[in-house]
Amino acid sequence: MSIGDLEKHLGRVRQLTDIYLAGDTDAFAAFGELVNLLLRVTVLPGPIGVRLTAGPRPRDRMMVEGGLARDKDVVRLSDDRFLRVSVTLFREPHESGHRMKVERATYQYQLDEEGNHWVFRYDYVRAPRDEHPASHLQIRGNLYENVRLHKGLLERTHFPAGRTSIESVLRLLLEQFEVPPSTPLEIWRPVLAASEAVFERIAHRPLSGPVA
Amino acid sequence: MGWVNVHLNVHLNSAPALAQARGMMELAVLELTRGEILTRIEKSAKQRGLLYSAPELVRAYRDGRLDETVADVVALAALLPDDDPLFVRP
Repeated sequence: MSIGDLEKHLGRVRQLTDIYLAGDTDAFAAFGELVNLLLRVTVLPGPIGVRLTAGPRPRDRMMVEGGLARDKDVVRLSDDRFLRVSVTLFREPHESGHRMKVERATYQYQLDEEGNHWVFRYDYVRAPRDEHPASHLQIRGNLYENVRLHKGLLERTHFPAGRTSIESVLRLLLEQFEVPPSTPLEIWRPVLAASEAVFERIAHRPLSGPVA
Repeated sequence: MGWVNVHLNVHLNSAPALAQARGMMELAVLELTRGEILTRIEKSAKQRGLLYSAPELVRAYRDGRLDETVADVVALAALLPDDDPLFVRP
């Protein structure tokens, strides 16, 4: 990898960001392409990244999902574990055009394709229907100390997490879970930073729970 | 490394550059029918130990009888039109 590769990746991040911010019908594809680029410079060992999943209303609502199999929403990572990626996107009118927004997102690190052995999980729901934080972290494990937990389980406890970007999840996997990186640090760090900077500027930031 | 400078140097926010960038997109697209969406919802529900049909699950979630832990299971239902029978009370 060279400085040329970095320039190429950063240029592509900017192009795809511009397209999804424009909110046209190709915004979904641009966001998916961006996620694939981020996965490929960080944790993907092979070519299979995310895909777009469409139903009967593809112009205004689509999903970006892990594309390992037709009926699954995971990608295989370079540590032979899996990341579940499931993001529901929609377009809505804004001023004279449209904007693409995230309706809900899930990023889950797991040991198996099915997700029975998951490790941590970030969820975001734009319009939550219960008291849990709209953006939260769950960890599947045990606490050393004896405290009362939601439904008695740490994994059912919803820690408010602020809005979490896929860039920060990928950084977490590389820096804290030691997933082997696909490119040198001099490439993946600036690429993640460039993309995350845009997310931080535009992301919807919900309260940690209901007002009343 | 001055990556910020690199970033600025390659920013091509012009109409021809964006048109070219649009042409370079090659993401795989999976198109699901209504039946395939319902099948996937039921399969995900079963994996979570939820013994609901897809319509029962989606209605229970929308009525607030199930919490956000199933939001990702029913997420595919968002790909259906608002007037789909799934969203209409029997």
